[in-house]
Amino acid sequence: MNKVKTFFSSNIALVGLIIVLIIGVCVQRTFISPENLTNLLRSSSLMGFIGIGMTFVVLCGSIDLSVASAFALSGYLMLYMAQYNIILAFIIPLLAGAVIGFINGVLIEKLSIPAFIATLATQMFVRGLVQMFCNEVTYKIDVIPVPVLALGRLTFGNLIPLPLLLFVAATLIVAFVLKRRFIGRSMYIVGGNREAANMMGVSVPKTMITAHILCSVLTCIGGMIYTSRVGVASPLAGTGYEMYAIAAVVLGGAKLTGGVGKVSGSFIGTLIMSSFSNIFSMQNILDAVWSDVVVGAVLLIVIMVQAAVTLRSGGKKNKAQTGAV
Amino acid sequence: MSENILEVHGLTKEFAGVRALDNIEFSVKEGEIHALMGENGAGKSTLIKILTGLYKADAGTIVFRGEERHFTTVLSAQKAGISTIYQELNMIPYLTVSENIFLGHYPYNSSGIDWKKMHEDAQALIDEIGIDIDVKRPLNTYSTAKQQIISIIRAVNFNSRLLIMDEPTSSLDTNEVEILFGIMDKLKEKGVSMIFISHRLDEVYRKCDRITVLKDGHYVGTWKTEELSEYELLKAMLGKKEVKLERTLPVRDFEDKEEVLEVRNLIRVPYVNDVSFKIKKGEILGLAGLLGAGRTETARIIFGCDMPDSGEIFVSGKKVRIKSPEDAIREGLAFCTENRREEGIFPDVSVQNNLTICSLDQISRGGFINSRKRKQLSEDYIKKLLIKTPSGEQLIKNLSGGNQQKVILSRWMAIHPKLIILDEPTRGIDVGAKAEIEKLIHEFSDQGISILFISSEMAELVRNCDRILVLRDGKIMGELTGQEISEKSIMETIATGKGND
Repeated sequence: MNKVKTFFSSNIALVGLIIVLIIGVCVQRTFISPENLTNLLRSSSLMGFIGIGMTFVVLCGSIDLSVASAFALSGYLMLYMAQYNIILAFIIPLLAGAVIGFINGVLIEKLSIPAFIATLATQMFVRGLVQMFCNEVTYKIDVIPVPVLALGRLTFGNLIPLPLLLFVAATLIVAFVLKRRFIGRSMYIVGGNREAANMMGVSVPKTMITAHILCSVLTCIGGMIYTSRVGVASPLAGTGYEMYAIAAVVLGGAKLTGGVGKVSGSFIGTLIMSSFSNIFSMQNILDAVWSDVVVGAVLLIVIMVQAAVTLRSGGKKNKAQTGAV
Repeated sequence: MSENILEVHGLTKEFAGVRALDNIEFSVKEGEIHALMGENGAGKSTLIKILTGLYKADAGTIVFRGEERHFTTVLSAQKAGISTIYQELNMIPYLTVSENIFLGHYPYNSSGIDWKKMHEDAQALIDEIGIDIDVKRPLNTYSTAKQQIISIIRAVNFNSRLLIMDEPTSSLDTNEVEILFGIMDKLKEKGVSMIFISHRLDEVYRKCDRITVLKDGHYVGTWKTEELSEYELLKAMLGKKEVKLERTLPVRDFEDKEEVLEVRNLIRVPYVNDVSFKIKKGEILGLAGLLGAGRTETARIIFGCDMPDSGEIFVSGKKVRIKSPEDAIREGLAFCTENRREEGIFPDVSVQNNLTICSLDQISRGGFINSRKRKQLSEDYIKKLLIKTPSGEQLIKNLSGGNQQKVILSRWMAIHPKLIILDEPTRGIDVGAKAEIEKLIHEFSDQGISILFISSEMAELVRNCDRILVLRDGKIMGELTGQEISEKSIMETIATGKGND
């Protein structure tokens, strides 16, 4: 019984996902059709890269609002470079992501600017750059090279899209880094107790900057896949995605104060978020304009359930402390 | 017999011209538990911070394991073998116990951190101590005591030869203290030395081989525990060379005055253990005792900052339930805290706003503050209490400590309290302002306001109180009235209370 409880409280996200899937089936039988699931997973993977990247940052107790703009910039850079050199088309966007992440990290750690403000500023700045580059219209190129197209459109056996494979692979790599590498553990340590991290010889700035770089680079992979999928770079691509990503991470059980969270949680959180919009587009009970209202309400409910579960286990701890007296 | 593992000679440290440590001598033997004693400002924490590499000494030498050392970072001190167990634990609450033990020393295999080995090794260390902890569970699922033990295991696993334990028992209950002591014995057998800081004399006498006393940044002396009586120890810690024996306050009789506050059987484990007392109108009641004796904790319960486990509070003979400071203020209680900077002032706010923050209902009408009334109220008090400030508009952080304290006192006087609790009201205040504040306390008392006076400076209590309760380990050891009150009688009451429990 206790084990069931522990499982339940540490895997709320998974339980949530199952509930969402059941709702999906109830609303529309075709929800679980292979075509729809393929679709769902493909759209998850675009957003998912931001979500798993955001996991690093949230674990450190930081936040990154600039991802939405990095997402758009990477797509533009990929298309632009594709006209000249196919290799650079893949490398330059990732480098740009690394630079944005580095700047975020330095602003936050070295100049002590609160993460919220620092990344809000880079968000606006980078978004401005993209709009400038695109002249505020959708950016197209005449011929998109095949490798660039394949990134977002290749599907194996008509069922398994390449973006999904990349997303799963990235999640596994991130999980490994977080669990088995020192830099991954450092993020838990820095987010869990900054002072202690310092005392234990863990470099807070190094960890923080690395987390921000990884977050932006993963975001840019998502942005490239998205652009490849739609075939054009839009100056407004990814607008609002930072909030979806943060929501996915929190749905996955991470604490915004840092130190708690798993990339598997963010993975599931992303699936929940995109299942929602998927289900919403399939039903005809509520008008489409209600979509965000419902997502927001459900998010609140999930967060409240989570808080209640954590509070209860916290309450137990306190009782144990005084109970021993 | 055994060698000195640590020797400190002539250690001196200044902060902005103030000598926090002056020519300190200190040594710890191998396998010894050495108590470091002293009241506030004695220099204990400065000494420890130098030993662990947080501060740099201005002069003096530190010899650790035969080598002269100057630690510049905590990590370098740790690597050399000095670890500190702080009161506030420096670990990561959400991570597993085993990871907290091995943090920074992860065992690796070919593919990365070897969790299996880490769990096994950690469990082996825990089992060796013989406590019931599952190393795979997050640290914060365990009690403070167990977390403390885990941090000790961590330190020892670092190959620490010298453990500095800064009030390790302050938040532990009796059973937990026993577990901790058991571990200390085992470490001692292994030859690990410990510096033990505690304000509980019983613990010091039970566990420590030698005692070193610091006072006001000076080295007072080092004794073998069995050669120093508790009274002598208290004298070394608290005593002044020239003791003013006469009390200026005439003996006042409160027999037929009305009762303002009564506290019955207040308990908050482990800080306050059955405290009961009464205060009459206009009476100045002092609470004496060492740090951690439960004085501030008692005050915090009365004012609703903390909830008691049990006990009753009566105000003017009526039983009250105080659940928050708001309730306490409504009952006519006021509390001037010992942490003026953290809990008293709003630093970036003007003097007049700081002063009127608790009496907004007096100066506002229909939900709007009347700025003329606010100005008038604050100027009244600025005049009455002789607060030195260019104007009420001045930000309070620009005032001297003494004047800040007067603003806080005004804030409370403005609510016309029945009782005001003063917790270390003269801490960090220069001599002149101290005298003024003491004078104000007597004025308040003459106006019929009762005062619960907490101070670590015994002379201050002796000078000002009508009656003094002496606390030790959260219990009342005795009560002194009128002519009985003297520094000597207070120290004797703290010391001889020993057999009473």
